[in-house]
Amino acid sequence: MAAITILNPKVSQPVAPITGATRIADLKGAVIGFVDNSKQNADHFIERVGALLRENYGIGANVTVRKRAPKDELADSDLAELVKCAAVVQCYGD
Amino acid sequence: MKLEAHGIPTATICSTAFAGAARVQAAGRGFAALPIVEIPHPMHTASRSLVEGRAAEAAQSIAKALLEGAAARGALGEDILEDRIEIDADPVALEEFFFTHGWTDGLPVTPPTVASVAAMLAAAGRDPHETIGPIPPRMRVATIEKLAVNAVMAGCKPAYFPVVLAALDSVLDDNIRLYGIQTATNTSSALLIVNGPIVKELGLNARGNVFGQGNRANATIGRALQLILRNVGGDLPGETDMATHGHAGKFTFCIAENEDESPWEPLHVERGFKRGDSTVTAIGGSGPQNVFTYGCETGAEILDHFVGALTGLGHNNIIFPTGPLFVLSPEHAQTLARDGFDKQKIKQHLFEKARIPLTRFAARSITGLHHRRSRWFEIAGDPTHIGVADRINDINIVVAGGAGIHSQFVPTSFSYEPVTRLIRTKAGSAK
Repeated sequence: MAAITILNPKVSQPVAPITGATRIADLKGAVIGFVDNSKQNADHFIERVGALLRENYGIGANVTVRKRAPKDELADSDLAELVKCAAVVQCYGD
Repeated sequence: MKLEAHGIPTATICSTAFAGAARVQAAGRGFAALPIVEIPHPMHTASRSLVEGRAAEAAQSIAKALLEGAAARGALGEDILEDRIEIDADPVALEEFFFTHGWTDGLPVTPPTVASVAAMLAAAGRDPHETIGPIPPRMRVATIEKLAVNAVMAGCKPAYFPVVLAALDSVLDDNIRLYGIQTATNTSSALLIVNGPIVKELGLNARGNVFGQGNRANATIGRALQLILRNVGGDLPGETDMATHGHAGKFTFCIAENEDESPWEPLHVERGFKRGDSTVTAIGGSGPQNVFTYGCETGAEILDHFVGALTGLGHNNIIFPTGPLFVLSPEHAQTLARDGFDKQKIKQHLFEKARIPLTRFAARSITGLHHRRSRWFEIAGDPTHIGVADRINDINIVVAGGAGIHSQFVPTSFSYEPVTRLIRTKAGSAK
């Protein structure tokens, strides 16, 4: 059968690779941020993880922000709080 | 990823059921090395002691992710083909090619030939190289030509293409929250509602079986949008689309308003457009729920059934502050109008009566409602109930469908509000 030319519906765009942040050198005394994305039990999970990181690794203060809904972007005010932290734990995809 | 871009190291916690999707989405945005710590699924229904146990198990991995990060994973195995492909014209082989390369929604498609794509582009009168996007979930940009390819594959006539472009523009508005609609477990899809003269010009169905099969314009305009979201946006079930069930509206979800049989001003006029404008309105919606008003003879009785449909537990408008959409049959609309109810009175009635006592919810649900629906508790003045909309005008009413004592409650989700766009035809004018 004869050949035809068809057009590709897909987009293939090379994505510029993002280089992750330099990791934290030491957790001792570090201020750790937590993002509670408002999924059920994220608050309890964060509470326990925060306590364990303090007991076992000596982290400093916790800063926790809570998103209105899991799929929402971080609010600017929350982002401003989190960028003051040494590292951030995001909770969670479920 | 935003935090990592700000120089803040992160660890992202995901249950096992969603870790794969998180990696795919991160890689699609260029961050294949997103440090993810996996925890067992599910967490939502886990007891507090189990949650704390999982936190204890994860703490060491979280510390490691913050201190050491994660190894970069290989690039995704994408199926990259040339933009133009010469191929055997045998129809069976063509369909197999489309399925093999993941170009379809599971149904056969029309081959996007050079001639058919050119005809689609000619109908829009737009520069084929003009770019649209980024389109979630992988945030890719498409040319108008690429969108035309998908419209051809969906089965659109060229005259439908301006509606497809307006629909895409509407769902890309931030108020639609398309990324959430696409990627959540919730059963949501972007519903399109077409208004104005273009409904008749294109033969869109606004009458019987309006949500169903059988009309080319409704079926293919809605399908074209979904194919664009798949082939350009990269929205794939199991990779980025994590819907627990999904619904038929993920194939196509496009209706027109039955303006001829409505006693009220149509949706687009209510939203500030002229009656002679042609528009498309988008909002995130679940599958429609039938409200069958058997035995009801008055507007008040019909509204009682609407309130009944809204006050069952578990639908999206309890959790999402979006506000429900009612698609009224002409028979219901005319009975309500006969009995003195206009759109505003109906909205007022539903806003005041469709409230669920908080005593029906578990304690953790109430806590969640106070957070997710905080605006309701701030402004409604009713701390012992939850309503189905924070504000009266967050409830939307459209008239569509044929004869019969049925209306549809469309639980909405994710979108902050509907978004309406003018449909621009070839001459560059709005219709």
